[in-house]
Amino acid sequence: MRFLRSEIFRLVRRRMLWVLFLFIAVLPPALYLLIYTSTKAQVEAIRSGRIDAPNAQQQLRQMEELLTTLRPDRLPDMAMGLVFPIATILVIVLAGNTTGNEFGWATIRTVLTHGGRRAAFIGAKLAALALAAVAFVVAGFLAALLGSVVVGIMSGADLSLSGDFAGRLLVNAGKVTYVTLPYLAFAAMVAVLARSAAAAIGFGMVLFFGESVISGIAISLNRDLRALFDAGISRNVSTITRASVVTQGASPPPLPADVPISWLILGLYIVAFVAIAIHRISKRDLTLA
Amino acid sequence: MNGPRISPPAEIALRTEGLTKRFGTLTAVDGLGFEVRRGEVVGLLGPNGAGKSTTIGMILGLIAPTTGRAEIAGRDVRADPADALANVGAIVEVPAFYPYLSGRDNLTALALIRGGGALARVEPALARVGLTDRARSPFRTYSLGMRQRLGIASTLLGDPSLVILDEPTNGLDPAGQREIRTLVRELASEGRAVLLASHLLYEVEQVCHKVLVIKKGRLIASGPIAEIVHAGSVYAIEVTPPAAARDAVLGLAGVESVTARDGGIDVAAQPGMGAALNRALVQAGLYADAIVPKRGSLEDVFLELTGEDADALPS
Repeated sequence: MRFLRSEIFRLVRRRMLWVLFLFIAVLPPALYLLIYTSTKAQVEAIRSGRIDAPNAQQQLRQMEELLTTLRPDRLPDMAMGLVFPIATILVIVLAGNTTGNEFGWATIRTVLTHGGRRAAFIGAKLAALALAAVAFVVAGFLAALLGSVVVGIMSGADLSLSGDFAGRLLVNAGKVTYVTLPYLAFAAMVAVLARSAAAAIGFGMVLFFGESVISGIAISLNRDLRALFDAGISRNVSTITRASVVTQGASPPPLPADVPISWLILGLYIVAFVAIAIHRISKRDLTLA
Repeated sequence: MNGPRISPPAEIALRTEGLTKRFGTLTAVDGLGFEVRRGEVVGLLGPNGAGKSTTIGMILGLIAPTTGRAEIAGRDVRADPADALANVGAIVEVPAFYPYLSGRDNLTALALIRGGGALARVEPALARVGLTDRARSPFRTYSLGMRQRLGIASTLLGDPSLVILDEPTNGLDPAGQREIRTLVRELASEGRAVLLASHLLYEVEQVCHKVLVIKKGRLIASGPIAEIVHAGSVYAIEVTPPAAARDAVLGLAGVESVTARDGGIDVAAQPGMGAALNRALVQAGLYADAIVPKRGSLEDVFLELTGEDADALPS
């Protein structure tokens, strides 16, 4: 607990943390407004005949469906789709930076000479980062709620909420928090292995953005690889968050793994990344040169 | 010697036994064994690459020994790092702190890890090293001297029985260096053990009770500074002809070497041999104008022990 208190003390005093909070507080409402204004403009253009769209009625239906997803009562699903990528990117940046800079600044040596086991040090750091991830997601959902209400007022939509709104919001916020954790643990692990913040952030981003792209290409070339990529992080994150895909206006594709297995697989990734980080930091000589 | 006197025996604050570290085929530290007692200031000397930093790293649990062990206040550093390091305050090479935190917040972050009464020691520690006025400034704005002071302040948070200081006066102006030397003496007078690695041999000579000299990872000399320095006494004898004088004293018991020079000879010998040397010269029919015992400095002894030239003083 002493390490955790110190980690939190240091974390909340980092300007970087608050800059990242600013991102997640601003981006969801901005995206709400962007989606609303651009979709509304297209709807009006099609209705007025300024755009000669084939299948105009079908397109109008899809756009109006998209506008309904911006209403406050649809927030839990919509926010999940918006907040997950933003929160994950921020978590990768924060975890990579916070862990990697312990080596870059050599502060890990200073901290460890004040007592405590290395496993406790990295465990406390990961716990503090996980708390930051929770805070990012909560801030993101609250920001999305603000955007939804603003858009609802602008469109004159019904602002009433269903009875299970709060429950769905909490469940989906929990899902988003959970699916960011493998990326957090991965970035921290790379930071420990490479002793570099840049490597941690770089590889974290490659994992986040590249896995689904690479898996798509690989599977299109060789369908036998599907089983391999089904066990990847990206596919299992999609399984857990797929209820949020409503903005695409299409049914989600069939997914190979059911939700409990996806939770388990992501949990295994988290445990594996944390275990590797703890093992490496426990065995490594913190040489002075 | 001007070094302070101690009143042994005191409680052992640090003990190493057979401390060895190999990096592949390179043996950085080889079977190092020594003790540091409370109230002592012990200097750790050695040329570049001698293994000083690796030794300190092993004592602090930052580097795993290949064999051997280090005990702080009777607790094995590897087996029980939390309890062992609770008794240590250390700065290792360049003091490393979080650049975005102020000096005060850096100490607070470390005090939170230590627990106990460490938080209450933050302000006194800042005051003791003269940093109270700049305690709110971010660490990244500190000069090298201020960083050193903050490093020393951080060693005091845990009320340690052992303080390890690696080049503590690096970057300080002369007045700052004197303050730190005074502080080191105070720490020892409070009953703490201090292990001091320093570039500055005159500094070691002024504040240390004992020295440990290591070369290529091995302990090649240890003991009170007075003993080590006296062990290498040199007598400058003004006598002619030098060649005959050299032959007269060369076989004398206690004489280690004789160097002839213009107008006399220099004799490296055991301390207290002035009369014996004079007698040997007289017996050979030679009469010296002067026999001057030259007290060697720690620097002379260090260079002799380590076989270094003047350009390779310890770092």
